[in-house]
Amino acid sequence: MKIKRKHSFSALLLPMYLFTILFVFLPIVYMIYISFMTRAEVWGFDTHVTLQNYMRILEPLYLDTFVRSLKLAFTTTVLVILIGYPFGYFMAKLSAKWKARMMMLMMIPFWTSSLVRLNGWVIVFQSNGVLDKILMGLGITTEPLKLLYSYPAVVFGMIYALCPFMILSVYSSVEKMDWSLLEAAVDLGANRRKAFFDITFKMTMPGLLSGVVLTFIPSMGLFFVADILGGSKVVLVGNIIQEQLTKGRNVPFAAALSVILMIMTSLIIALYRKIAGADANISGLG
Amino acid sequence: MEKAFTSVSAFSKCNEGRIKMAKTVLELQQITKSFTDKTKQTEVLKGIDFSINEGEFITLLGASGCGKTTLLRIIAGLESADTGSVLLEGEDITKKEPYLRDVNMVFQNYALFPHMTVAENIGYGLKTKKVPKKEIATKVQEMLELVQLEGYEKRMPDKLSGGQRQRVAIARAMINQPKVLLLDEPLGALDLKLRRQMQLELKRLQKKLNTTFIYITHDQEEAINMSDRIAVMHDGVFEQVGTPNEIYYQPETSYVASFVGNANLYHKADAVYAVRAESVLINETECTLDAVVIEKSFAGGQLRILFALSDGQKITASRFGIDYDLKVGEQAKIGWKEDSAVRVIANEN
Amino acid sequence: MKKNSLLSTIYLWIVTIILYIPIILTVIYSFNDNKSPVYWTGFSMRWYEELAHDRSMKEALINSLILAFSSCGLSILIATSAALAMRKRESKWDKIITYLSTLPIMIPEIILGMVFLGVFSFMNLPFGMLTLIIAHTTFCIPYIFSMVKARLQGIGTQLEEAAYDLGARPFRVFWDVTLPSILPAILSGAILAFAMSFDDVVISIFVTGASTNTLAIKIYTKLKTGVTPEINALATVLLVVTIAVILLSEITKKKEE
Repeated sequence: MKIKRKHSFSALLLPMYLFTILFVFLPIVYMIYISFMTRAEVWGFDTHVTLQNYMRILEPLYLDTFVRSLKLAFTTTVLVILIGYPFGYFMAKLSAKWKARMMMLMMIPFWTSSLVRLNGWVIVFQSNGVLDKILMGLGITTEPLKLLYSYPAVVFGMIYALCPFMILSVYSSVEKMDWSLLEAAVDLGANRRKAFFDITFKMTMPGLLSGVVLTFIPSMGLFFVADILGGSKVVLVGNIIQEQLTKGRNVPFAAALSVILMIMTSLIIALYRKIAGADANISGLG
Repeated sequence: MEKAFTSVSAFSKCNEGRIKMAKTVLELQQITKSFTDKTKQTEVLKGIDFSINEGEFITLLGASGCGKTTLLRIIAGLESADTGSVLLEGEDITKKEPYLRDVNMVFQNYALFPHMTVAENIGYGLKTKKVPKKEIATKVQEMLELVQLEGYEKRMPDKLSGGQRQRVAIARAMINQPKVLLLDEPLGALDLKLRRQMQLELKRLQKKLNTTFIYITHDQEEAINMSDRIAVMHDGVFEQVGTPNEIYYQPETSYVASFVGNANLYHKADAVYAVRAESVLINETECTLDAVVIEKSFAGGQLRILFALSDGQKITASRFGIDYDLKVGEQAKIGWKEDSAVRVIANEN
Repeated sequence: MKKNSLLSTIYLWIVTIILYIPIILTVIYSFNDNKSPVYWTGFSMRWYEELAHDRSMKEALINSLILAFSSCGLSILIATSAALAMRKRESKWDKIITYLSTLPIMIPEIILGMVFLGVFSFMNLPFGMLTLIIAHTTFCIPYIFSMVKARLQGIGTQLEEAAYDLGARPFRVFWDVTLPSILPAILSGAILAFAMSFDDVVISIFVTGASTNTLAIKIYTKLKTGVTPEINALATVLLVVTIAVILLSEITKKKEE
């Protein structure tokens, strides 16, 4: 059955096309353009083409920040995998009733401001805060640990903020697993551990990978985690971009930093697509 | 067991003789299993006793939910029995892990590993046993030849047709030379024509490799075509075990009679007799029962005529061809030769 | 399949409890009489009173709600109509646009903030609610679009063809068959998008004007300037509302069943 729909349907497409081109595509192009401009005296930029902004990134101060951000993102991602994968896996194997309950337990924090939740950790980690009081009360430590405003606190905050994405992503792919494949492997002589790595792990790889993307990419830009839990001690690319835009008022340099960060992001996504298959989607939220 | 008549054919007698000489490969003793679902407890297997001989083709025949798949999974070790034991060549394997059992399974949906090629799938069992790569490659080639899939080794499972997947699944299980091969409705997903062809092929493979097959199906034709012996399962018990001939011609219970080949169940006094539709005679000298034609239908190359007897019982007769000069509503006399009615034990249903 | 072992159950609970520690502490300390969370000096409702009298907080809440509702509404219209229109065609452009439209949730938020800051100044748009809505709509669209698209692929076209066959006009078919079957997908996409919009700080900070605060921005600035138990009280109120909404939707779901 053929229904006439040609022109009426393309009209439906128009808003999406317009919106995407006007507010996603062109702005990104514009940012790339700005990144080659010269900084203006007060705000904005002058239209002098220059590579100065990119050269500046190579200065040790900024290069170090990039390396540090990458290191932090990498550490965060590895830890998130180690914590989140088993959680998503076990969660998918719960009974239907408990699955629904667990899902609800996972979703409620999503609805609480992530800032407020981070602030909750400030209460815990603070010098003489909840954790110190408990540890000192139990006699495990004798003086405050000074955990707040340290690198470990930032890593912890990142893990805390991003782990749910990994959990949900792994959960949805374990959920889709055909368990008879695992039975087949066991039947063919693989012990449980081998069957897990040969079958379950490989079959849930797309979920794991999309979890990695959902963890790695944001962790390079979440400046407020470093802000709140790291004080001014831990500076990441995100913090520099924010600083350059607000205090430094150097828009072209912020744009150049963003372009580099975006290129790194695109490489990761491209890599993900290559491993997980061309039409793979980041499935954690879908 | 009370039987009104017996008609053991020469064929099944000789078959029985052969089986009795063979050695037992698998023995099931008093297997029970129940599942608890919320508050309800369902007994799926109610004490199964059975022994299977080497090289035998055994079919577990039954409607869905009769417990046949659970029994198969208990043999494979994927499910554990509540009580009872499983003996493989005399060794008690009831508590043995599934990956240590010399038993392999062909799964209902094939369960081919989608991320492995055909060759990797087939070679997986040998890989888990740490067989050298070269040897695996040779064996995989042999299996591919055996199931006529040469040249497909690099394919991924999703690029295969249903029949080809089926062959890969069989090759993957057979390469391990299991003492018993379990097949869980392996042809269920195929269309009728392909199913017939695969039936023959499976039978050929089984004879060639002389492997013991335990085969699950709900299709009585398939069971009759392929099996050395059939075990008809119903409600967690074996209703009857026997050669296809015995099951077909000498059903012991009314369930077996009606499930295998849809025999008529004729009640007379306190006894129940099974009469096959093709044995029902119409308007011949033996015919003594008054009947009315109430329905005519054509199915499977046969015309089926449904009669209502004067006492309300319904009897179906079948004839080859598509026409028979009886119209709906017409009166007729029907009956059967004495030896084509088999007295059976009445099941509750 | 084998059920979870005791160990894995314990693991699930430990991680879940850790997930809730900051939330529980926030609730507890919202009743702390002392300004500093280092000391507990007694139960008090003073932060709730302060919150109730804080007009700027109320304003921010209203702004956040306006922002989340408008960007979700706009996204539903744009994403759903596009998903419907793209369904039965194979077009390279559609694929490119789909890919571009997912960029806002793929690239780090800070870049998006930077991008919007640049382009809105270039366009001379006044920074405020309008720019906030545009920015939030860009990252709400992909959530709704991907869910609706997946759902449309799932339902196929048979039902609609049956409706056409039975004589329904295109609009009736959409209203009676298509819409009811994609509504759950629209809703779950919109709920997610709503949560993201309500919680967003990074992008909002760059595109908002001096006079327009959202709740998330307000929380951020308050937290940066020092400890403020008023925020704890606010978070507790929001948490109670959230749990109430979730429970209510669960109850109605159960009743429907």
